[in-house]
Amino acid sequence: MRIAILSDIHANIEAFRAVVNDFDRRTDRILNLGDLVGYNANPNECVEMAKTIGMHSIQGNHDQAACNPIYAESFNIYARMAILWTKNNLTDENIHFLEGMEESRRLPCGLACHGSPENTANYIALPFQARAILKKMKKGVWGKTNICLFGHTHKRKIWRMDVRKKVTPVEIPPDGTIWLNHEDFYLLNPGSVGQPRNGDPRSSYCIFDTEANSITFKLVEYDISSTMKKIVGANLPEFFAKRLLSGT
Amino acid sequence: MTKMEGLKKKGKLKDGTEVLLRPMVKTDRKQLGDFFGRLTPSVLQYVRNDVTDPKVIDRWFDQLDYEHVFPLLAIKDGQIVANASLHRVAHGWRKHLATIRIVVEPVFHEKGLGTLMINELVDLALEFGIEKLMVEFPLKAHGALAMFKKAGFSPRAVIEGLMKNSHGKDIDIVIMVMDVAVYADKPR
Repeated sequence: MRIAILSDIHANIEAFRAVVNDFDRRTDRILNLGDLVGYNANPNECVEMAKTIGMHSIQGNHDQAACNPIYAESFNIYARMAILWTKNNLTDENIHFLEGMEESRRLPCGLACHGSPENTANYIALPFQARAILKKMKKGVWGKTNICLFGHTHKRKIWRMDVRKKVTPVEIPPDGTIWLNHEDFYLLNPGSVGQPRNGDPRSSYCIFDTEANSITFKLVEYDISSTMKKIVGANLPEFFAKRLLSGT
Repeated sequence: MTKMEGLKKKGKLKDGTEVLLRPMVKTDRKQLGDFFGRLTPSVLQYVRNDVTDPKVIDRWFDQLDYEHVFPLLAIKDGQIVANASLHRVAHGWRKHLATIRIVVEPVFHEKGLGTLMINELVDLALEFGIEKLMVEFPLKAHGALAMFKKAGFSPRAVIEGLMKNSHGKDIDIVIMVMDVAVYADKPR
């Protein structure tokens, strides 16, 4: 099975469309690791597209906050402003769709979550954070699985724990393909579709081939200027528009 | 509603007092002058700029650039009661690093206002892609030391006699640093 893994679309319909158009015909399933909305100006369009393409979605912290603003209390003032705008602009039907998403789920291909399997808003960004989750995976805290798919950081990344329990980041080669080892444990982040923060403005996602046991990271160009104009037109902070150009 | 007016949130202090946190905007010029005017010389001596000079404050407002310096205010009953700022360098070897400066009105000391503002700046630093935060202040400022420790900073260096107070006496300085990603998602 070939699964397209997306995360952090963040209401960027131009980026979302470009990524979906990039899938090849052999893509069997589409999985979203959360934050379909927030920051950018097309939340309804992104939810509608998620429904249309039958994308399986995990709930992110911005999706949670769009449904219930109590979750926005812990957001910084920029993210909070954007999510309140989002809530005011989402249709009731689309809020209902976001409410129906699961926080995390064990799938045949691995464990899927937004921030970490422990909490939607937690980050796996530093080695000690990755090590803590990988150790729990090895102990079977979330059932028998050696792959955890996560998002939230907006940065594509693979962490591996080998049989000696050594945790290291795996370098992504120029062709983007990494072959996984059945004995090792992995944390895999596809990066962000709608607001990448790797220093590359292109949309980031990956294809997980469960038969070949490989991950292929993909980068896709999209119409950034259209997205930027919509952000400014919606009276959202210009900072959200500018950061898309630099991918930060 | 302008874009900057939407950037705000309420915060609660230890004693239940509510304050409003928001970025400083051009129309805050008079209020900021009043705030610094209420501070005593013992507090003002550690403020980096001569805020008793109106031209200094005028220059801040003339040069407002949130990508370079992000100024955050705490407002209570229409008055500024604290001023904190995140200072960034756009290019080079300090691009991932920002420094914090903070001044809290003494009436609000030990009420959790400083910690509230630092926590907000930590969250903003993560949003801006900042990886490390740094702060420096006199080693004997025990309140500041406790406040920054609580916010997740740890002391990395003490430089003896680096600064001088208004009477020319040497002051030891402590430098505290934090990794933003470690503390950004911690419940506070």
